[in-house]
Amino acid sequence: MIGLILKDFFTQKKNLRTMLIFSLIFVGVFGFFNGQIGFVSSFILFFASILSLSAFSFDKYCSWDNYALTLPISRNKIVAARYLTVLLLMCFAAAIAVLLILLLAQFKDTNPWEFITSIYIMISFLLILLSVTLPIIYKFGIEHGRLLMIGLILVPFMIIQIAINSGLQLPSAQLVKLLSVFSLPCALVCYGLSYNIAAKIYLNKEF
Amino acid sequence: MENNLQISNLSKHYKDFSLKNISFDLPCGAIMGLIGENGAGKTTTIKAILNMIKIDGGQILIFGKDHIACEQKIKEQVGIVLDKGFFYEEINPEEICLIMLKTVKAFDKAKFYEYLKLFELPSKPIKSFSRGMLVKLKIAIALSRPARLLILDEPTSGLDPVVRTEILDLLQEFVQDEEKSILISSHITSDLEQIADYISYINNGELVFCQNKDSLLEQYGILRCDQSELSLIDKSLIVGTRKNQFNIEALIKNKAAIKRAYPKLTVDKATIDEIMLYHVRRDK
Repeated sequence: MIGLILKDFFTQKKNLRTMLIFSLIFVGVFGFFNGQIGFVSSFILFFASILSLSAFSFDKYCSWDNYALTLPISRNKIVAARYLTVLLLMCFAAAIAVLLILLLAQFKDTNPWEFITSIYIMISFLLILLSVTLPIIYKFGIEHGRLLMIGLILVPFMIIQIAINSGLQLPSAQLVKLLSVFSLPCALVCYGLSYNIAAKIYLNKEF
Repeated sequence: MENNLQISNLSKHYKDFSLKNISFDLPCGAIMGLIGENGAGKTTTIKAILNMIKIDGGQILIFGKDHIACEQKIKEQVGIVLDKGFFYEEINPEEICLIMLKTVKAFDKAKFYEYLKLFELPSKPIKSFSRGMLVKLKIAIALSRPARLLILDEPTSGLDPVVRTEILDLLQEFVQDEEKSILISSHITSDLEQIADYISYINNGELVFCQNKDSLLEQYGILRCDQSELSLIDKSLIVGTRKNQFNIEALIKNKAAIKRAYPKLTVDKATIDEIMLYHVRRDK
């Protein structure tokens, strides 16, 4: 399984470099000059989730699954390796975002904890999105998965907008705080369930 | 004689194509060529062996073990070269070696680097590799696995004669110890005439024959004659005919008997290509 994770990172090495360079540029432009640290950290995490989807595009391009199935690795482990790669990518992006926030806090008068909390919520949100998207990709392919991911990103904004327009009372700050705290454990549970579904789909797939 | 691969009554049905009751054995120390037209079922057979598709009937035994029940164990000892399916183009041979070391138990790193040197493969991303170099890399990986069985899907197509000869020499060397075997699917039947011990011919999802290559070439012949001479021959011995401007060419079975019965007729040696061609024409 480690071999497959390594393969994903070797395949994505150029993209990872690009992610680092873009992150630094965004930090320079938006962080230092505009002070929009929240935007920068969201961007980095979002970039990482896009990279996760790119891994499937690269695999499709070179028919990797055909080759993977010639290796002495079970189908479950092939899926597990991909889920771990995605999780590692998200952790890597979150680590970069936290480092940048702490770095910016040295120069700007900001409260880093506020932004670190937003990263915590953002990563939970993206993991839930990925939990829905990944099994779809295994079932219907990357093209459908990518469209679904874009669509799903808009869902929370639409819900909030509809709620505001229809005059619904927004949840209290305390409830929002409580939901925020539990967002990551919930996201991880969703991610685990998603793996089980994807593994079942992959087990029955023909190549 | 022990078999490294045994396929019995293998069936797989799709909407528009079926693989019907394919059966053949690949003995230890032998090379088997799998031939057939495009879409005849060669790659489907290989996919079934590798459990990439679910079979609808039959049994596949590799090293005497069920190919699904013992899949991981079997795949530790099988080297595979696929026509379609490999690493992404940004990866280089050193990275592939690291991945294989973490994936295949007993992957031989020293052997892999020996092959890289032998094939003069550079340490660059594989996107800069020619088709020949890519095939060599795939074969280097397959041979560096502790393989007792090599399965190769169209390994020599699109390669120049020099590279093809190099690869065929390596394959012949692989089976020298009489314990290893190779199943090779190829369109280039001249390559198979050079190295194969057995030929399995699949046409439209059915196995037409699986035979020792020498006895196959001994059995079939091309008869060149006119219509009246052809009418003398027992029809059951004629596989197919082809008319040209001057005479009729017919692929015949039991070449020796016909030569004995009609010594004046010209019966030439048939190539695997010709044997395949006349069988296809008969079926159409």
